[in-house]
Order: sequence, then structure tokens, then C-alpha cells
Amino acid sequence: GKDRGKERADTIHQIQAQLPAEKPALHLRLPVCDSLGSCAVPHQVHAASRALSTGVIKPSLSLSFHSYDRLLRIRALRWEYGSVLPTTIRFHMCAEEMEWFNQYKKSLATYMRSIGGEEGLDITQDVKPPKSLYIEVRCLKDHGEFEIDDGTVILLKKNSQHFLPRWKCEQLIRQGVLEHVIS
Amino acid sequence: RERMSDAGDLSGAEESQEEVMTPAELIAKLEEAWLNEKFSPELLENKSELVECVMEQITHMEENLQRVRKGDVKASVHRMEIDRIRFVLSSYLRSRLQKIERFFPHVLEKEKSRADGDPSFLSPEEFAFAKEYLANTEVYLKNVALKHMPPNLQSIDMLKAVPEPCLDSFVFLRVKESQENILVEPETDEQREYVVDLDEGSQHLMRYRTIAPLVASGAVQLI
Repeated sequence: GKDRGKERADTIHQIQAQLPAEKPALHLRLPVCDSLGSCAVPHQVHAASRALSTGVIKPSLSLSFHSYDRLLRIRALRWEYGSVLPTTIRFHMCAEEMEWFNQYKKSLATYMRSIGGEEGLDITQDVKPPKSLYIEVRCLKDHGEFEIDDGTVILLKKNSQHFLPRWKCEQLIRQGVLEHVIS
Repeated sequence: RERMSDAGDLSGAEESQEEVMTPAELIAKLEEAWLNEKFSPELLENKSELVECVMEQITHMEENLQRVRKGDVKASVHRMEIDRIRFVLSSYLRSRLQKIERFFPHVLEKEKSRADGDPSFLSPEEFAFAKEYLANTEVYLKNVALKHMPPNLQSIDMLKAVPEPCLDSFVFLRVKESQENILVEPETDEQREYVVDLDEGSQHLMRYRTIAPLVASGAVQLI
């Protein structure tokens, strides 16, 4: 939220104030930043180590790289978790990062819809090459009735196990409803 | 739909965009494009027409699948084939997107400065995506880091800040069309010129930069 943004700005200020203009930085005193939580320490260490190791580099570049580095990780979240991020992760993001994430996922959605000229293609799916046609799955939570291609209806009750077509299960596996059982 | 400029005349390749291919040939072409894009350090030429044809093929196969009697073994095999093609296509497009994001200022610069007759590296949709990515990232960096800097340090030259693809990466390749006298290392004071012949069917490991034009023309396949 807003406070986090200010905390980060203050942290950056404190680091930046110590960086000599055109020479390599040899020492950095890390500012204390309690309220950013467990992610604060990695930020500072990361920013500091970049500034120290990159030698003669404009301070603005090294600190922006630090922010950019976080951005790359946030980008990866869209591909791993989907378009809705878990609360625990959102908690560690500032408003600007959320904004970037929202714009990114909109951009990605527009692009995917344009593929091939009709309905598009969700390229965040089909991440692994298809190996087997049917897979054994266990149901992790109650999910009600589930229809498969030939019209059969399966009842997905917690802890039940089923042998189902792989392509039908992918989405539910990602959502945590089903678990692929590998015997 | 707007037609791409025909790059065939420039590169010497005969491929006409109106050419009719069998489904098997189409999928073989997709797999070649997929592997090349996967193993190349830089973004390769855009192949929108191929992507469109493959999507049409998938739709066609899905429709056929609806007509097969339920429970027939054939259905399973068709299903597997559709999934396989969709995986290759998705993987191909993901490779491209990853490179577009990774090298976004350079990719945009290259597209902006290309001449009218030259082949396009980005599809119109990829171009739009890349521009949005740049704008989004610039806004973020400005609000998070740059606006807290002294005025003279408030802008970043993205072309300088973001690294370019490393064209000297080594790649594995198989030769499809024989090539002679490929220059591996130019002559210097210490060494003679190092050239090799690439025989059809042979496989090699070399710097991408050396054989980049051969990938574009289809003379070699990255593996």
C-alpha cells in the first residue's frame, strides 16, 4: 500500500545518499526498515550488493536494476500462479508493483486473445509436453460434479481418486482441487 | 488481413506464402520454427502465417474429433495429437514472448528501424505487447526509483540499461543445405582465417553469430 511505497522510497534514499558519484562504492551502511517485514532485508542486501559489485555505475542505474529485478520476479508470478495472486504474495508488493502486475496481465491477455485470429490461445497452459493420455488424480477438496468428454459425470469428493483424461485435469490441478498421483 | 512483405526475393528462398502444405508438412515446419526459436539467443523472424495455419489445423482436428464415435480408440490418439501440437505451438510462442520481454528496448528499436522491404521480427500483436511492456516498465521504474533521484539522474536509457542478446553463445545445429567456406574466425596477426564447410546432414557446435543468416534462410536447423 501507500506506506510501503514510502518505506521503500526512504530506504532507497538512504542507500543512495551513501553512493559516491562516479567511483565504486566500497562500503554501505544498510538502513533499518522494520515495517517492510521479512522482505526488507533481501531488498537492502540486494541493492547494496549490486552497488558494491558493479563498480563505476550510476547510482540511479543500480537502484533501478534492483527494482527491475523484483519486476522480473513479479512477472514470473503471473506465469506460475495465474492472474490472481495469493494473499501472502500480494502482502509483499507495493502499489506500484501491483499496478505493473495488473497492466502486464492485461497486456498478456490481449496478446493471447489475438493468437491465430479467432478465440486465441492460452499459452500459460500446456507447459509440459503431454506424456500420457490419462492420469491418476486425487481430489483434495470437494468440487461437485465434473463432466468429461464422453458425457460421463464424475463426483469430485475430497480424497476420492479417479483415472481421468489429462487435458481435463490440468486446470483443476493448478487450482489445487486435484493432485496428480504418480505411483 | 495485411500481407507481410515477401522476403523470399531477398533471401533467395523460394517459399511462397500461398503454398499449400499437407498437415504433416505444416507441423514439421512448426517444429522447426519451435526448435530454432528455443535455441536461438535472439528473437527470430516472425511467422504469423504459420501460427495462423496451425491454429486452423487444431480447430479442424477438434471438429473432426467431435464427429468420432465416443469411446473409439481413434479419439484418444487424435486427442493426444491435438495436445501435442498445441504444446509445441504454445512453447514456440512462449519462447518468443520471453525474448521480447527480456530484450524489449532492443527488439522495439530493431522493429522501428527496419526498412519497408525487410522481414518483420514482431507480429503486430507482439509489437503492441512490447510497446505496452516498455511503457509499463518505464512508469514503474519512474515511480519506484527514479523520481527519488536528483533531477539529473532521473531518466534511464533503456537501450543501455537492458543487455542485448549474446550472439556469441554456442549453439548446436544440423545442416540442411550444404554450405562452403563459412568463416568461423577471421584472419589476425596470430592466426590464419578459420573456415569450415558444412555438409548436408552433419551436426556442429558453433557460435550463433557465425551461422545466424543460415538459420534465417533455413539452411541449418538448431537442435
